Amino acid sequence: MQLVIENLSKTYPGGVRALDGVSLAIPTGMFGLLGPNGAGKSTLMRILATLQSADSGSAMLGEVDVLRDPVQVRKVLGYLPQEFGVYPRVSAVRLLMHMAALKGVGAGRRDRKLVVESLLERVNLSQVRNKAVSTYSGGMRQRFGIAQALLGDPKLLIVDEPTAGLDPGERNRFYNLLAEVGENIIVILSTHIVQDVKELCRNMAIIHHGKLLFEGSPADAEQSLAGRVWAKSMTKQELQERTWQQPILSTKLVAGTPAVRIYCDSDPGHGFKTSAPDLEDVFFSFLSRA
Amino acid sequence: MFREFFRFEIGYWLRGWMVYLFILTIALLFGLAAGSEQIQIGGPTGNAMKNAPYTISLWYASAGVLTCFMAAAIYDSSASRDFSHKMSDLVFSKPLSKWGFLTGRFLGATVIAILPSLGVSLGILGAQAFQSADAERWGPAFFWHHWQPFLAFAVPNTVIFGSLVFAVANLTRNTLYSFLAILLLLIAYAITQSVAGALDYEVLASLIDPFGATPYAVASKYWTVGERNTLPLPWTPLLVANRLIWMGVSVAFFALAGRIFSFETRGMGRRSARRSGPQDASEPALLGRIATESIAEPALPKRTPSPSWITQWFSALRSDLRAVIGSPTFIVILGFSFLNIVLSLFLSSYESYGGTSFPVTYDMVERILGSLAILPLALTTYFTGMLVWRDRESRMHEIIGATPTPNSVFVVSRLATIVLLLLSVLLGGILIGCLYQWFSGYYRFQLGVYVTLIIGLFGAQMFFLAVMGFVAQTLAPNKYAGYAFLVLFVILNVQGWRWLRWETLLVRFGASPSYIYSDMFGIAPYLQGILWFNAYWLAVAIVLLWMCAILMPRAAGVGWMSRLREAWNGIQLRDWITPGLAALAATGIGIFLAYNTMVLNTLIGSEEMESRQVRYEAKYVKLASIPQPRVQSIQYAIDIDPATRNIVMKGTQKIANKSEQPIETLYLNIAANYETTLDIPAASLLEDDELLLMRTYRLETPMQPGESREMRFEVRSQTRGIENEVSNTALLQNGTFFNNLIAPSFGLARERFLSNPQRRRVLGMQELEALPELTRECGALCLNHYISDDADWVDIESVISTSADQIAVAPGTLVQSWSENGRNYFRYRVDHPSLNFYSFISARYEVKRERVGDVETEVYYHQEHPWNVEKMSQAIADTLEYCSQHFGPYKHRQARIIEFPRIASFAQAFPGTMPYSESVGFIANLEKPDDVDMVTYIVAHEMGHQWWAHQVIGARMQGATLLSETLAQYTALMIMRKNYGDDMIHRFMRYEMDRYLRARGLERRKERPLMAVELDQGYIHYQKGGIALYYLAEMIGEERVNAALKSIIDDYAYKGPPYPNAYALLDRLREHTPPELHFLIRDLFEEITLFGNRTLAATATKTEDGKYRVKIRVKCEKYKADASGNETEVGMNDFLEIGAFAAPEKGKRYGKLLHRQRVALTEGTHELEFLVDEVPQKAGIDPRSLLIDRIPEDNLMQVTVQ
Repeated sequence: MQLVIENLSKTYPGGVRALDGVSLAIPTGMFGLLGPNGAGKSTLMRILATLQSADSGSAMLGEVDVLRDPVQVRKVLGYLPQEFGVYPRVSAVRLLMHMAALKGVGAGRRDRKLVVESLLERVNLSQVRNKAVSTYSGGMRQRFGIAQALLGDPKLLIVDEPTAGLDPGERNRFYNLLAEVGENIIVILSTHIVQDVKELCRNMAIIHHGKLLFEGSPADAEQSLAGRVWAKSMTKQELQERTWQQPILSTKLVAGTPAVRIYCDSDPGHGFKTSAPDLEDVFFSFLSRA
Repeated sequence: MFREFFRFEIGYWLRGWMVYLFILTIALLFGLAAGSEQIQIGGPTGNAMKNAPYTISLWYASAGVLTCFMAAAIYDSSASRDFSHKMSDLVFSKPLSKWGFLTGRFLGATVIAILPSLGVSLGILGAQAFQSADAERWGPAFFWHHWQPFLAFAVPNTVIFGSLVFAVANLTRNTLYSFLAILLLLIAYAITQSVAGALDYEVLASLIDPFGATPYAVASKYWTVGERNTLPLPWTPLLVANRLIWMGVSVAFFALAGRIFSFETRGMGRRSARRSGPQDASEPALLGRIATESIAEPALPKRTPSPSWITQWFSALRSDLRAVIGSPTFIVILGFSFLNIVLSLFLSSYESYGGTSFPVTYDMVERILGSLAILPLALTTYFTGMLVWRDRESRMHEIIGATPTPNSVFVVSRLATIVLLLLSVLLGGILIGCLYQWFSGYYRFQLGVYVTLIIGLFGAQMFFLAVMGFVAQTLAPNKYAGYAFLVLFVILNVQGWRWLRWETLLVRFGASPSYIYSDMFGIAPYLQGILWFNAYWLAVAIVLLWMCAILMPRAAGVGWMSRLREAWNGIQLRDWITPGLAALAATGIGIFLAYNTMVLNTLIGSEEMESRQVRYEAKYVKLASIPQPRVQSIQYAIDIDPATRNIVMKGTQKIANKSEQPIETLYLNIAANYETTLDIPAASLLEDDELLLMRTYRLETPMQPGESREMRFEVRSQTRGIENEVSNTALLQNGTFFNNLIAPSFGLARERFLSNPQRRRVLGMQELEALPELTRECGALCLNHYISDDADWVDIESVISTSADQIAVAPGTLVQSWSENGRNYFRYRVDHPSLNFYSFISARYEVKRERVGDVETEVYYHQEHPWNVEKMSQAIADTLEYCSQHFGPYKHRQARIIEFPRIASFAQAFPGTMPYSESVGFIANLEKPDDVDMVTYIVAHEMGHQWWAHQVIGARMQGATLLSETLAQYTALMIMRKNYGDDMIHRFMRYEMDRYLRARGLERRKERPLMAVELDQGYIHYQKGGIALYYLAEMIGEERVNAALKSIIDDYAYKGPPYPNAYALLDRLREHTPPELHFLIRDLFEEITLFGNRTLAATATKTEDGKYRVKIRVKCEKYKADASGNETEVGMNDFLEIGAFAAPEKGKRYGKLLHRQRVALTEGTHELEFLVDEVPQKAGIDPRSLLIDRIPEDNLMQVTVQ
């Protein structure tokens, strides 16, 4: 099954063009959608999750028209929004049971109970399953969120910036879970953390200002910059003087000393050494060019 | 600091729209009320100007009920703004001064929150600008008339409620509790209202009323029209005390809030402080699980989810119900509702004259529904808002939105939740009603009635209210706007159509024909209309709910265009089925109802009705001077069909020309709602005025003076189909009760004129001269009595038939009864020619018969109302005896009391027959000895009418009712005195006094002295008349008064024209009054006299022989009033009683009258003393309330025993 997006556009009232003719073909497996804040990722996510309408274009999930047949899509959809809350004073089990009923999971109450309990086990919330979700910490809340998204074995899982605010341990656990799930279904992961995409995704796309800047695999992305990334550690003064013209990809501090990476088709001189490009470089290069 | 918060607060609100919406809503509501005659707020204002200071003050005080919610919204939002928008961490980490912060916010919010109240003034001034034409209804606008009540009511009420809300919101940081606090105060207000109803608790009620309306009402309760138009706000001690008390309370609230408030937050304030208790979830231990380990999935069959609507709905319903029930609001509102019902049942069980009735179920139902008042609206408003916005507020809406749950699931589950919620309140109310009945020892619960009226009929109303709530919240951009929308919808749905004068129920959402329940027929006459209209609105509601489902946003922050577009995208063909069918049903039923209510039956709007009244007067007023024949005798053949609510009345009557001129043209009034055919020999129809219901015939040979002819008529009722409102409530499935006025009548029918004086003025008509002025030499005017123009004393014979299970009653002795074709037939004939004014009745009755001399007394009653039948029978006998002995013989051979359904609540007297409403007397509970025996009183009054009206009838001029109503009152009072003694009469008099004084202030035209009383001035000819004659009897002796009355009977009983007028009574009374007391006749009858008697001090000292010497200081004043209530003081030399009461014994309400003594007093202050045998509790002047006093309460004072 493939999710084929063609020429999707959306402009908000006020003139903000959130999506500008985006076309993508997303196969099964983990797909990373990379872009800075305000790039249009969440808009795209919400349109695919049937919560918002597009101005033009199309999106087909297999044979199903996402834009025109939202009800069909929702039957096979799992959505974890970027920001969500929960009803106060309702336990995880009960809330998940409610979601299961709304999704039409299982043939009856007992079925649903089994599914819910196993999901909670899977996301490691079994011990606290009878406590109110509104009392969970951030990481636990996200795990609940993924549990409800996984209800009913969705064919399309949309996960919007899921690891914002999680500590490294929680992040790892979360991604392990996703990786398991993402083998045989379409998982779209939107994030601005380049590392996540590199670790998890077979395919990716870069979005900025509503436009699609790149589509392919992370390896291809890095390959496209092979031999064109140059690095040098320098003093702050050198950095300020800026004796080269090529665009800076990134400036990081290593123990207080700036380490500058630039993009150049050939040796820029000034003491820069060639460096193997990583995905971050790709990301910044597209941003700076767009 | 203070200034910064103050300024910010005001700016914040003024930049938004909420305040302006609030002001607009209030201005609209009061503007509509000011501009219309029909809409009343806070109570009737009678003839006072539309912008009289009285009215303005009343409205400011009443506006508080609405504006307190608006104020609550404002204060709550102000107090919790930091928390609800999560800026608290940002704001509170700045160096703030606590009191600067609190007072700045509070005062800023106050300035804003008092603005909506200004809507009252805006509305009134706006309406005045609109309607400046009617100078008599609008006085000049004085700002002081507006500022005073604004300062006395609007500002303090806002601060009172605001400080409470502000304190609660700051402490709990939860809107729920603010709302509950408002409810608590409103319940307090409701309690004060029911408590104040019983006279004794006025002071208490005045002090605990947070709106300040009660002390104001108490201070102005006896104000006349003149006073209402001119007097500014009365700052009585009670009002001042009330304001001070409640302002003190609000300062206390605020101080308490300030004390407890702190800038500490824990993410989200107090709530999170509680969050980290042992209950809360903490990160579960991993129990040695490695991060990358995966967990095997259980072996479940994999299938695509197949959502079923029912499952989704059940789950959603469970979720919604939990949300509602789990919220503390629910428990507390439920508790408050029940508390309110309980209190209102127990506190307002006082009837007129301080008596009680049996707690019959229909009465319980009305009290329960009455005490629920705005609670269902409040519940619906709050919980529809909560349920509709719940997903968005807890930000679960996107997760829920991504599930394949159709919107209809949520709409229906939320609706069901509200319905269940309301149902639980209603069921609780029913339970309380039953418990109350059971505790009162009354076991006729009639559960079917409870369920039908409360759950069925009222529940339907609540259902439609809930639908309105959902529509409001769906259309609103946020929850608070949704509240405002709903309130606006409700106001417009109720008042707006009235203002437009659109009567049809087909436009008023959720409306169905109004009904009156009676034990005699349930709601049978109304049932069909109610069912069909409810079906109609149900269909409409389904379409509306479908619309709500379509428009429900699945993601937040979407504008209308995208909502509509998404709706359009998502719609499939089968989604159109339900609304399509519903719309079809609505249209179909609507057409059916429109046909029934407007084609088959006519729906005459009030505007059209009024125009017809005006045209009738213009066209036919000339008939007053055209001679018409008089009825001499009638034979009726009447067939009643109770099942279809139809009758056929055939009549043959003999008419005669009793005038001096020949009669050429006959003018006959036809009854509305009936089909009349006339058969007049030797006459041709000149005009059939169908609109104004008059038929004009020309006699081929004119009728000569003294000539008599015969004519026939047939009158058929036209009950069919469904009506907008059931118009003919005389014909019923059980308890048919109509009088002979449905038969054609000759000449001018003055009752068809437009009587509302304000409307007459607006339309430029002359003032209605209700009765000709009283003149001694009345000449032609005395040839008519005031009942009708077209008959004197008439012979009546009737053959009346009805269904096999009912008894039919007509005037006169039952000559014969038989059965034919499965129907009952009765023949009646009157024993003596009587007034042409009587009734026909048919119902399933039990009858109690007794014999008094050669008169058979009968009481026809509904089987389940036997309690007071014995007493009624006895009262008839007592009055028969008294009146036969003192006034003259009774000419009929029967005296009947007949129960009729509570469509109307009066008792009436016809010749030999007295119909008595189901709700008057039949359900009176006379077990407590101190209660006034209203049953005997009213029976005696109506029996008195057998002499006073049905033997002697007054001529048609002012003072006519003096000879009938006032003398009947006197008769009743004499019977009461005989049965209960002189000393106890004050129990009764104080209520009569109160009713007279209150009604004076509501007078729409001019108050007249007794001798010139108009037909509709009941407060004069009943209340004042009774008091006046009783006092006269005290002064000159009962025998002398009776002698005067006997002479009237001797001279006028059953005599034809000329009829007596008020002078007949006054002259004879004067004859029997000693000359030194002749001034009494003038004071009581010829002028409007009031006293201002009060006791200034009362002390008692014990004497050596165990008695008590009571010393009182009294002040006496005497006034004469003019027609508008302006009073001038006059000199006084009258006879007043002084006396003392003992304290009431245990279980009784009144103490023994220890002493009464008549003294002559002039105006001014007097010191008086007398001896009593026991410890006096109260002493003073006029202890028995025999004289009309402006303030009766200050006649007596507590005695200080030294």
